[in-house]
Amino acid sequence: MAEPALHRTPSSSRTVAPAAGSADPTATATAPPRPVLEAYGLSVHSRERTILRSIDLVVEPNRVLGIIGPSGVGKSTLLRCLNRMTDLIPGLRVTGEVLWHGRSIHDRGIDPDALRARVGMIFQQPVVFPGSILANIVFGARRVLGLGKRRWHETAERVLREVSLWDEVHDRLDQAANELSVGQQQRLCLARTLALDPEVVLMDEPTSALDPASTEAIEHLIQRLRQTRSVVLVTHDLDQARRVTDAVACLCLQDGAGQLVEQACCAEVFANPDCRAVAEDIADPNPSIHGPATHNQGARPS
Amino acid sequence: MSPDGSTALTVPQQPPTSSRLAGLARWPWIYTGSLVATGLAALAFLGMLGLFAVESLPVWRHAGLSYLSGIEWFFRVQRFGALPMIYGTLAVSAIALALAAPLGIASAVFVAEILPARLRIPAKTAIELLAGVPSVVYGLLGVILLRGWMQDVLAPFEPLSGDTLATAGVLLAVMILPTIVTLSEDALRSVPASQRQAARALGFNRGEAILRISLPQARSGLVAAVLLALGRALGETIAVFLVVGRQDNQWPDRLLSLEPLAAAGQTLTSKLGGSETHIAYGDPLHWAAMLGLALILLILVAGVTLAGSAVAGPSSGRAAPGKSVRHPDA
Repeated sequence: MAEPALHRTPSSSRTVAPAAGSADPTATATAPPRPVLEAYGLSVHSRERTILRSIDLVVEPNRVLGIIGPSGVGKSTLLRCLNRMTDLIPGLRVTGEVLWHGRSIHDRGIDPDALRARVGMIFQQPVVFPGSILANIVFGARRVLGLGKRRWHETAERVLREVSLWDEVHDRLDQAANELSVGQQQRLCLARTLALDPEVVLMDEPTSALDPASTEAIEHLIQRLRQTRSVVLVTHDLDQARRVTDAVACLCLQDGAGQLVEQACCAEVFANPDCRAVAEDIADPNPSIHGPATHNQGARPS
Repeated sequence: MSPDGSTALTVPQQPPTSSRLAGLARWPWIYTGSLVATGLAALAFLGMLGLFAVESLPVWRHAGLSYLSGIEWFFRVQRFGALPMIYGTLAVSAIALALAAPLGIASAVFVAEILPARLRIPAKTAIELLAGVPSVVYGLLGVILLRGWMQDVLAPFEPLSGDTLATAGVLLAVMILPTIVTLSEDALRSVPASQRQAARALGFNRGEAILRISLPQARSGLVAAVLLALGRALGETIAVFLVVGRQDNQWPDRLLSLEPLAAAGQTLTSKLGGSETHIAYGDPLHWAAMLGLALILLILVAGVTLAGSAVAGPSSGRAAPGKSVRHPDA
């Protein structure tokens, strides 16, 4: 077995402690409750190549699932499969099954727009809309939940408190959102998603564009979010994965396509030699986005 | 501003002459060249304006402001009222815009947002080809196809022929449509894809993303497209000339009456393009009256063009701080 330090590093205990206390500490060992999202044999093909091959993945309620892997392995694509954002990319073909509470999201009866309102998404770069902070927060909720004007402020306060932005912006909700710092913008984007009350929040490297303080704020947030929702977090930062995730899915390139090496709790994943190779690849102290491609060969199982 | 002129990046404000010259010598020639070119263009325009103002001076002396407000133009008795022609120009352009702007923006939405990338380039090329068709060809097309049709359409108003202000307006609409489509398409595509993607991730469908994200954020570009097209419509001569009927002194009896639109009319350009310009050359006052029309046209077109570039100026992607304090649908 892996050294316990790999699971929860001492340096990260302060970020983890509150959430670990609030969540059932034995949860990782007990039988999981019914998953929110499951993927079986999920493959994604572009016109030229196979991007992802036969991925099985389980997103459990009130858990943070991390997705790690080298650059270009298809982590973001995998994330986008879970709320059918892949539909918006021309030329992508998704095969296999993704179940939302046991029902295929590719069923005829499923409205992908309604699904996306339930499975929120945060991007690598914060995308705020032109307009005020308040307008950003209610942007989706007005349309999806039919949020009346009278409840705008109440909603704004609730979600801004949830993302710890309330104290910073409560007196200037009418100010332009794009004047906020990048870290604040990212939290605003999260608040905007939370205003829709999604069950799952997909995060695509949400902290890679942020400074350390904002990164820490987002990590705190993820810990708090898991009390009420599930989170799927694509990350390049292995320490972050150790700090905030309950389980990690490790992808690596095999025959040119991303494949799942293992999905388990962090310690087990990092104990897996294949994953360790992946980890070494992306844990380069120089946080270059593009890891050496040759390493992917090393990740191939023997 | 550094007192030491040799290290300052900008030319010092009050340097000794030698150091100012040194500063100018370091001024890259490309700046100088572009400054001169820009200055020449601006000077050329101002010079043109001045020339027409001076040349038309006699008619302003003769008629005063009634040159602008007069509704009768009888050059043999030296009555020069330009209003019917201003009316004709504005009416024809208004018809053109009313038809072409909604249609053009709708097609731009289709090309930019809905058409697959594979088909978008051919579509856009075709549209740009249309924008390049010489206007006399459009005019002849109007004579061949539009004139008879418009006479049928306008039958309730009993026009004397198919050559009416409305015909010219419809023809102009066809002519400026490609301009509106291609410029609007550019404006829509300048809205970052991430904005649409973020809206879709919030559960907006494609139509909602277009209405809530693309169109509002491209708004200034769309307005600029329409204004530039309007500039073209105001100045278009030969196509209008061929189908407008060139009937002087058409002025609505009642305010806002639409009836003159269904009759032959005269625009500033069709008047200037006609044979009266040759006749006028011998008579200083008549000649001044004709050049006065050109001055009015020049000012109209320049105003619209300036408005267009003023709107297009601030980048349309992210709203300026002052503008951005508004709700997404505001």
